[in-house]
Amino acid sequence: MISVRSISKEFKKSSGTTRVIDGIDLEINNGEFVTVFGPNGSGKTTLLNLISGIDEPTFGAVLIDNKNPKDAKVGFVFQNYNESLFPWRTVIENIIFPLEVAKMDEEKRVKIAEHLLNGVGLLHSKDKHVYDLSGGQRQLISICRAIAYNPDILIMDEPFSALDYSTTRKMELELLDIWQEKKITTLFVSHDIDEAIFLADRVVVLSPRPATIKKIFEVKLSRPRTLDMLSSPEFTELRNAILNTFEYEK
Amino acid sequence: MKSKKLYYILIPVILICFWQTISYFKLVSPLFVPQPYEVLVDLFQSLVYGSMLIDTGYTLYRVLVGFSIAAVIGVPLGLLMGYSSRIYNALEFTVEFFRGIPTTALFPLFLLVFGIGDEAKFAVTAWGAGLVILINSMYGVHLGKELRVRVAKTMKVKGFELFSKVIFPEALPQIFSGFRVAISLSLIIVIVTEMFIGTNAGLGKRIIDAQLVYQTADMYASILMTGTIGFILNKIMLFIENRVVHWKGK
Repeated sequence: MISVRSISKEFKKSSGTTRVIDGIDLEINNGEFVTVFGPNGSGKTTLLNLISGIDEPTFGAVLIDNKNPKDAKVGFVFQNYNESLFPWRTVIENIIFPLEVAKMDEEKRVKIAEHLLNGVGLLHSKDKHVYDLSGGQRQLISICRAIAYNPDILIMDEPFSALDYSTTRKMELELLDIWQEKKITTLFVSHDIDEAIFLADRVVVLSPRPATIKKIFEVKLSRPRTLDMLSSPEFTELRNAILNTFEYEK
Repeated sequence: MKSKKLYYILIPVILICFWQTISYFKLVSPLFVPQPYEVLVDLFQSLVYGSMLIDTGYTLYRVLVGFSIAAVIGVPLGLLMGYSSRIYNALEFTVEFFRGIPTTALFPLFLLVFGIGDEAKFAVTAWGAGLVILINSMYGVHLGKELRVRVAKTMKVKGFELFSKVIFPEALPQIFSGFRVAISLSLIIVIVTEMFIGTNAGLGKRIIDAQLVYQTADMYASILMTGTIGFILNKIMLFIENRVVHWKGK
């Protein structure tokens, strides 16, 4: 379980302190898929940095399974797959990386990586260089790498926003497949409202900077999700409700 | 393909024709510009019957030793300077200062310290090439993608492992750019040291000796030989670079 307890983050600048996050409280259950939806520049990335332990909150605390995020296993998938994969390593060597660092023995780590690759249909590409794969395939490799060492939480920062529409939809389905199999606690940031709803158990809507939680929406669509749900009445209704929270700001 | 090769040799052919014209019509005294075929005959004879092969061997040997010392010292030191801001601050001024001094200006100093043997030539070559390698290795760390380091940090990679598995390979493309500049620079420095620091054999000595006694054909032949090994060294370096840093530009 992830507990985010009234965290705030301030950055000190010469012109004074800027508050980027202002008192966010959030609990994410084990195996839950939560998406964070908010305007650009609302401090989404800062929030992820705080939860993953890359950065520390000015006030409040984050606990991952009652541990400090610095001691928890975090799988992080970034938007920019080109700059986050290791081009000097082959596809399978990229996925093995976190296992290698964790000193797992070789036979075991190859088995885990091959299983993951098989799951996303890329086993035949395991010895290729990552730059020989398509954008979508590269991001799948990043996802496999992030979950290879069974992280306590999978954090994804707009992972599909560099991909085209149909690839994005395909990737979402792949991601849900992996998530369903592994039941991995996932926090996913998106600026695409359809994506945020389609993937999530709950959608957290953030306000503009300094970020606070505006509202949390529960997504009652059944699982497994299918693409035709994108046009279902429940979906449209929820979408309107979320968009309405931004309406009265004009 | 055919036309590409044609372009490749077009300018050399024009240059040789130009040379042939000048020498054939004696536009410049034959003492200064012998005919191309005389130079080729001299090149062939000196290689087969004369001592040019030995001279070439000595020059190559000095280039390779000087370059190797430069690489062994320059790469680790450059990487450290790029990695640790403390080491950077400690060495930056010194490196920038010595970088500004032409290596040739340091010949007398190196002669004093190392005597007139090969040691002085190795040292002065390693100095000149080493600075280039050091600075490129340092930039390799600075210019490396920060996101990859962040990825590794989310996986709790630290210390030497972070250095050897992420920061070093990330810097490799820039290190190799340094190597290519440094190998050409090594040849230049070796040739000049052979001209001005006494030696028994070497292409630099051969060029200056031929000039002193007006054996211009042999002087041109030696210059041609020097150009050829410079060209080949660069090609070999490029070949190794493309093999090692296969991801460069992708």
